[in-house]
Amino acid sequence: MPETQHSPAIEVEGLVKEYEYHHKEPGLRGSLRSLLRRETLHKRAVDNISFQIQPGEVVGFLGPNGAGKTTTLKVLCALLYPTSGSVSVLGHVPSRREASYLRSIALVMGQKNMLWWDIPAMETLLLHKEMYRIPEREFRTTVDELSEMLEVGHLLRVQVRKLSLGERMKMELLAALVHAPDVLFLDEPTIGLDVVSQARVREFLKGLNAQQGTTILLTSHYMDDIEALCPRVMLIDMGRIGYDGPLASLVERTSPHKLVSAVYAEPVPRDELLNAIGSLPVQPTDDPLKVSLAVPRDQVAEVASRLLRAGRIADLSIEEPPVEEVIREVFGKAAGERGVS
Amino acid sequence: MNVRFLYQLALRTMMRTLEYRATFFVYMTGAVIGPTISLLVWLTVSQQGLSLPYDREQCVTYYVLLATVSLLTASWVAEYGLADAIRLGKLSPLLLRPAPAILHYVGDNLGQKAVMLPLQLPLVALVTVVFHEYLRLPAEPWSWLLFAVSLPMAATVAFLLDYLTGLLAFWIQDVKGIIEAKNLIGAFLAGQLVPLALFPDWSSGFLLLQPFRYTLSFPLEVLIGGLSEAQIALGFAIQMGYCVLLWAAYHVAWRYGVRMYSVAGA
Amino acid sequence: MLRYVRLWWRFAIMSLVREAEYRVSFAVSVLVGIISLAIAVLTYGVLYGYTEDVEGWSRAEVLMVLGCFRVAESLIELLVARNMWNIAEHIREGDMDYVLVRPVSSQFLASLRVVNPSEGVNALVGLGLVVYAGNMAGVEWSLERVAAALVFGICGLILLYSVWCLAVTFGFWFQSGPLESVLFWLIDTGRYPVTFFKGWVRLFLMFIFPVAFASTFPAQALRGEINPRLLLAGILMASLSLVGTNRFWNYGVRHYSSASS
Repeated sequence: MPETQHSPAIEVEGLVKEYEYHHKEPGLRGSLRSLLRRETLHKRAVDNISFQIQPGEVVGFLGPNGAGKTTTLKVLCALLYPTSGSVSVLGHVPSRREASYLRSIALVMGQKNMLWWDIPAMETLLLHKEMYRIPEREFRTTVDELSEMLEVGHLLRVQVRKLSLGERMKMELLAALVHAPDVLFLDEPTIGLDVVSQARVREFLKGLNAQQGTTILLTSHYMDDIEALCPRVMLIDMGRIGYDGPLASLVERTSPHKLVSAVYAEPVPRDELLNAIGSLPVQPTDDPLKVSLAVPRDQVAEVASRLLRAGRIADLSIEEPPVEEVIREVFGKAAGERGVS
Repeated sequence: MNVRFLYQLALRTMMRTLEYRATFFVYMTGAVIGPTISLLVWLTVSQQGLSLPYDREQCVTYYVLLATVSLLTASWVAEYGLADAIRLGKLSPLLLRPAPAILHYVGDNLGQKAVMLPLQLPLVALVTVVFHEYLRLPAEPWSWLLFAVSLPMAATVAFLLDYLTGLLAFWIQDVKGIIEAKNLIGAFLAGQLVPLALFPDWSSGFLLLQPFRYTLSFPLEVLIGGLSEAQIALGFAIQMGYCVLLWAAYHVAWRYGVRMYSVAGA
Repeated sequence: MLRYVRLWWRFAIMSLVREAEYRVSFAVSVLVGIISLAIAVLTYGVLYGYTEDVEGWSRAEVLMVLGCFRVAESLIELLVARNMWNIAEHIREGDMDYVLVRPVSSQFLASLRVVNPSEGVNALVGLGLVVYAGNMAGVEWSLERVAAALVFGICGLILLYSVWCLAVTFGFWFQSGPLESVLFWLIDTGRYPVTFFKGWVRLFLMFIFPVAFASTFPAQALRGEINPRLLLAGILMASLSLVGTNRFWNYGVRHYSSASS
């Protein structure tokens, strides 16, 4: 990570968050029993997490459901009070919930609405103008700018419930950003959107980061989001950080293979092909003229030339394995290890 | 067969209700608080030496019993379920069952009462302890027997009135307001706020004939005393009449309503 | 402070814009309000069929109490009721997120953001009853009396708000029971003059669940009985309860669990 002379935008040291919950058995008997006595249990959702994020960075939180990524995000947003550890964002301690801090951040959650359902989004924007004390002129220019970037200017006066899901998400982003926050927290911002809308949202966030230097922290189930937006990812599982660094080296580290595929112009003699393949594992393909191999990184060049020699080739490609697969592998491994221990 | 099915429905409702026992306990608190407030007011009034149709003991006994009797006879399926089911097209699964849909709501009603009664009893016991010196329950088994007969009949009249109001949703879009208005007026005319015996004389003819008396007040009146034998006999006749009349009305409304429902294609 | 007034005004406008979509339910809720007031008047009619005076209150005077109560009740419904009903659920479902992330008092946002405009009509009807019954009772509408009644009423509203707010704040710890709805039934005591109740019940309605400040005391002030000590007690209690509620709320927010992991 390049050295910067700024202090980090976000600094988290030894963060722990525990929840209390009650155990209850199902059915009538369970209900009756818990009527008499309730068992209180503790769940450690975040278990000693530490990291730093520099101003202007875009960082993605990856992890299975219930891993602790949303909890971490919400602690940073001052929604959850940490059990222990120290958190500092933009020089503020979030849990103090100072107005000056809350004015400099924004939160967007893909599964919740901040816009009032039955009325046009503009009304909510005006509300935010009041809440965040945005001066009239600044408000006008920001709304103009953002609605142009998001291409929703014509929808500001339309009732929110009449918008499509994609339009609504863009509007949510617009509402979250009218006060020009320095840090933007996103929880599953593209959930449920169609592919085109997803791409739009990504593009917008990228532009926002480039133009305004907004620091962005996001959680997402969609690898496309992470791949497109986040040079840096943090893998969280069981409340701990499993990996923190560039996405590329995560792929390299977890999956020492590359995917080498050749499509031949005509059928290739079986012996020639077997010779070229050697003992490498073959990936299934639906094209009889296509061969796909998972090749160790140091043998890629050699295998590629063997495949080229084996017959008349139409296309040859060398790819990183899909990130989804890598992630599945990481978490699969982690789960396996847990199972053993 | 329907009885077993009804039992299963009620059992399921009981389990669901138990999940929300805290909420229902709070509702029961409210159901006891209301009559207790009225009790305190009428206790003050009855100590002023006025000549009321009910003496102090009768007033107190009426209000102490009110919460429990009104829980046992009340029905709230229109507001919580039926009207929405009709309006939002959720009635269809019930129509597919081999048993009449009304059974589902009867089961709901009975199941919830079965859970709510034990939740309410400690509160009523508390009120009883506080006001025990004024409490006067009839000793002769005769009154209790009549009470025991008129109670389920009152529950039937209340349920059918409620169900019929809910069925209006077949024809009227925004039926919630009508249900609410019916509940308010019904509570007043059923003796939920003031015993009907205390109402002015000129209203007695009307009070006697209107259906709400037979949803709550009549069983209480039988127990509290003050009715002549002829009045009791007339009361039972009218209560029976309402049971039959409302049952017939339900059949007619249901037949035409479901036709509307299927025409709308919901 | 002015900022909060302006913010509330925005909420009122937004609620009105929304309500305009549902005109039928607006009319229905006004109608239901009128029916329930009429029934309360009839209940008094039954009571005063037997006497002209209960505990020093004439028929016209209890209707004044009822009117004051109606105004207070409607204002509570107008300003806070819908919000309070929602808070418990919002805490349980984790829907407080967008409330807590704003640079504005989260208590203000959570308890006052949804306005219920139809209750404004009910408040006016209640006010009409106060004036009508007041004239019937021969009240002299002096500035002093009206001002005292207003101060009592405002203190009463603040006190009722605080009690309710205190109750819903417990939702941050105990997420299952809507304890606060008990208050919804207790508030009905306000339709009777507090002197109808004896002993600890009366003290309870004056100082623990101080609904008397919103209904009986304003009516008494209009009748000409202005107790300066009681007035002072009201102002003091109202100010203290506002501060206390806010402290407790901010402490409760720390236990918000946002229904997530």
